[in-house]
Amino acid sequence: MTETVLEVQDLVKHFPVNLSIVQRALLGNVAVHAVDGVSFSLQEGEILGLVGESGSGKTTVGRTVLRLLEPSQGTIRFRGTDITHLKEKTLRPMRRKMQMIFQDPHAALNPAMTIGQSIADPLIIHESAEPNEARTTALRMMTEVGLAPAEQLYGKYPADLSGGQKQRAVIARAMILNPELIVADEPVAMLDMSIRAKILELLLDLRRRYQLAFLFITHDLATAKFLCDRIAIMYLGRIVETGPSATIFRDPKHPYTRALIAAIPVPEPGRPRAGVLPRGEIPDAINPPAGCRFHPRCPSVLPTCGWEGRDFIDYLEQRRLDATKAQADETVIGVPEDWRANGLRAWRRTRDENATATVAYLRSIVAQAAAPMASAVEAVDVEESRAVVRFRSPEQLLPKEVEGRTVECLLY
Amino acid sequence: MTDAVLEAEDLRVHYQTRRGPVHAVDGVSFSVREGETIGVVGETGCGKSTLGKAILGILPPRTRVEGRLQFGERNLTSLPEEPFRKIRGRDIALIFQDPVTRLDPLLTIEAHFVETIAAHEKVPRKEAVDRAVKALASMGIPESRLRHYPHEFSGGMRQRIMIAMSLVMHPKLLIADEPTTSLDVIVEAQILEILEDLRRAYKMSVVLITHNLGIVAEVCDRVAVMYAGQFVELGSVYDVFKRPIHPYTRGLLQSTIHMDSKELYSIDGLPPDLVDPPAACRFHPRCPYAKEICSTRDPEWIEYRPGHFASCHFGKDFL
Repeated sequence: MTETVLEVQDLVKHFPVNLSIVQRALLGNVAVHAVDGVSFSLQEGEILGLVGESGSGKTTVGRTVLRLLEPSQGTIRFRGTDITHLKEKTLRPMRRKMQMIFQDPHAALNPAMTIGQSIADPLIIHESAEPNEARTTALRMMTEVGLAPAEQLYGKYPADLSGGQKQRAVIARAMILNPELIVADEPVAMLDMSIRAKILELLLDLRRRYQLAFLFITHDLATAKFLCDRIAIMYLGRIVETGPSATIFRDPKHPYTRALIAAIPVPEPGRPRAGVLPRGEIPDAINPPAGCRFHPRCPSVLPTCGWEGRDFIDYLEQRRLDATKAQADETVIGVPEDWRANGLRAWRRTRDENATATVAYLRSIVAQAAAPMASAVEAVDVEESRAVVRFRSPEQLLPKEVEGRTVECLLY
Repeated sequence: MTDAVLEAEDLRVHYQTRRGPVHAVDGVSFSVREGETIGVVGETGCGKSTLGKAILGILPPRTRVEGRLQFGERNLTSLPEEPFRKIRGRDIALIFQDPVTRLDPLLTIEAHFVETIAAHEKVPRKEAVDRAVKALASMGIPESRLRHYPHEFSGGMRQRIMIAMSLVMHPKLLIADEPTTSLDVIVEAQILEILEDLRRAYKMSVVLITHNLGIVAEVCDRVAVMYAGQFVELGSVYDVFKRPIHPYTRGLLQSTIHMDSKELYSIDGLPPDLVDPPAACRFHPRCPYAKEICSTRDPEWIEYRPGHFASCHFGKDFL
């Protein structure tokens, strides 16, 4: 029976946004919801891929579980010990067991230290090793990660090494304290294709030899598919689908996972792209969409997925791309900038004598909208000299077990 | 060929460095046909971006450019800066990897368009704005955002704006240097779709410089594989991907990790130093098939199939 190395429960990380006094009075406290309730566990010898686009929160998860960032809520257990709020002094001895490999090896190595010094340094810091002893251990580790001849490379500076060699040095430095957990944040993204495979093989090899647990953070699904035992797909601070990677890649369930897989260009001429692309980009994490965070972009969206006031304003923006609709909209209901959203409602001021015409027009454009949004509209009314479009409350979204994986989607 | 928009013949670009001249592009010949998308693929430092800059005439000062780059009536390698400026942006446009650094943070999007158009044509401001509105609408960006500043847009939107701006003069040739590298896959796919639609609509030719073979397979008609400043293979995307000739092309295709990859593969060794490249075939120190001749004689550029060229001494063994 393998043991759990890392257990993360309902992890939340918010970054407060600095505001002036006036802004704070108007808006209250504003925060970027980088990670918003993420749970997973990692076993000995397992590679878990945390996959998502930029802005999904995957890097923040990686840094928070190592306590390089302070978690806002939730618990992080390392080998059964709750390290969520451990003081730095108590945490430090455990840090050697949890290491990180960064994306950019050029930035991760001190240009003024030789490769050997960089690799040996953790031994001197954490174990007060004798310089000679540290050197011997560093040389052994260098050979193990393929930095050969180690004696010759020991005295070289990062600038003398190729990108692949630098990344090997970064791996050697992470490995030298015999860690049990490695968080690898895009470790091959900056490397050329022809040498990526070598670094991935090295990681697989180290995992085999030391039963290491890896949290592998990447935006590259193809690499994740190759390397990971399990994957967790992140979108805007949430894990939307997680399970064995073979299961998910064979038959992705979440529409976002499907979109990600379909968007990867395949080096196979003449093969058409599968499926429809979601429109737009990852929205702002300061005020994430209600309900399922993917709903405004989702090709399979339902009326119950979380439609809200600002989706209506967004729809008005879309209509502006069509000159005739733009003209008609502007005369009756104004430009999108005249509209405000507040939770489930979108509204603008209207004169009472125009109210009936405005409501009729709004109803007609709601009817023209795509069915999921149109049927999510509960009412179009005039309240206190405001024309209001009100949406129904979304259905509660809970993670569900679906054919061997966990999905957070109302389709299931 | 008569329908070539651009013809390069024995193009060479040498940078001067403290360690001596760097032959970033070293004897490259090809043509870009009307309405086609030609991909130039290679790894970091192979000279692909230098090639793009040479076509646009935006190399750093004291760079030596030799050979011929025929664009219509003119040879771009000997064209002085003044007439070049008239062509650049109007007939040959470019889009870069990082749109953030190419847009002026102090100018609104409208000002960017007006300035671009005014640089090439005498038109009233109102007409310039009208064109900007149309160009942006074709990219899915509503008119209401015309007065916004670059920082108010997302990365994908900024790249759309860059594309709209590059194409507002209806250029004959577009040089796209890693246009989607800083974007996420879904946005990348959106941008590639847009580029493809526009290329068809304007009958424009595109030189797409990228390291991503998947993108080449998806959008290019032909592809050139570049290694250490030289083309090692050139042909239709089908030929180069399905029946590659040069061992470097094969290695590159095999080492690309994609959704159907069955095993990991990598090319041994490192790309060479362009100050002092290996003799004869530059790939020979890394080539699994290298024989003695590969280090003593330059391989010839041979047409193995109609339109499918490669430079390898043993090319016919790989047919």
